[in-house]
Amino acid sequence: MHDDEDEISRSPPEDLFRTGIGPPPDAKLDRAIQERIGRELRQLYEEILNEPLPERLLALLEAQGTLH
Amino acid sequence: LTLDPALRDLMLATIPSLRAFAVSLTGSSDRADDLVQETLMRAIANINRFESGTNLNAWLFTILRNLFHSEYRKRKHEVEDADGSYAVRLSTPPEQNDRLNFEDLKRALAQVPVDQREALLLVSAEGLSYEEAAHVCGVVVGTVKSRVNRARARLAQILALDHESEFGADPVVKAALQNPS
Repeated sequence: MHDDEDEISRSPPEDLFRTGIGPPPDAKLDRAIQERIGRELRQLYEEILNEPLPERLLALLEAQGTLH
Repeated sequence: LTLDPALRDLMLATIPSLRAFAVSLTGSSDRADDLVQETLMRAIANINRFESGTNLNAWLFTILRNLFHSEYRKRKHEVEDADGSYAVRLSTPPEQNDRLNFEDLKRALAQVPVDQREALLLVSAEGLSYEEAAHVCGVVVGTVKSRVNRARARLAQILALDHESEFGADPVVKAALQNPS
């Protein structure tokens, strides 16, 4: 692990302000919005987790089983 | 080439999470599956470098993340909507309790800078601790926290969620509450 830059002290990229809406990126978000974002992301994850796994990925590991 | 059956089963159990991370990171199921396949191939080929008893999940996520960054550097212009045009199309705030459309969410995620996006996904969706996410991303914990905060703010801005708290209440009611006389 290397010591990365302290991003809090850096100026935000200009493109973050191009739309002219919303708060600066370092502004503290309302708790309810933070929770909603987390909920939406977990729902997206859940949707993907429930998808059937592609055969090619399973076959890759199954082949390992037969070689062992 | 051999793979311990217990390790193989652990890898198998991790595939859904690796896919979810990869799909959310790339916004494409096909690219995500390619990325997961490459991750598993790399892991199998380098299994002698995995230290038994350590966190296999974290190791696999680290491989996937590094592969994604290698690919990302080659096709950066395709990944992010740098001109913010999608944000303009989403300028109407969603209703407070409506679930977001998954495709909208994926497109919005694609606009979040990649280092912030991966930190947010690892912590908020995958459920890793800040320490684990820092290990996967190869940065210090404070950097992960900063990136997660920035990613949330950016996502709220793109999806116009920040308007909910700012403009959520009826303006007349707001004004009445501020001027009770």
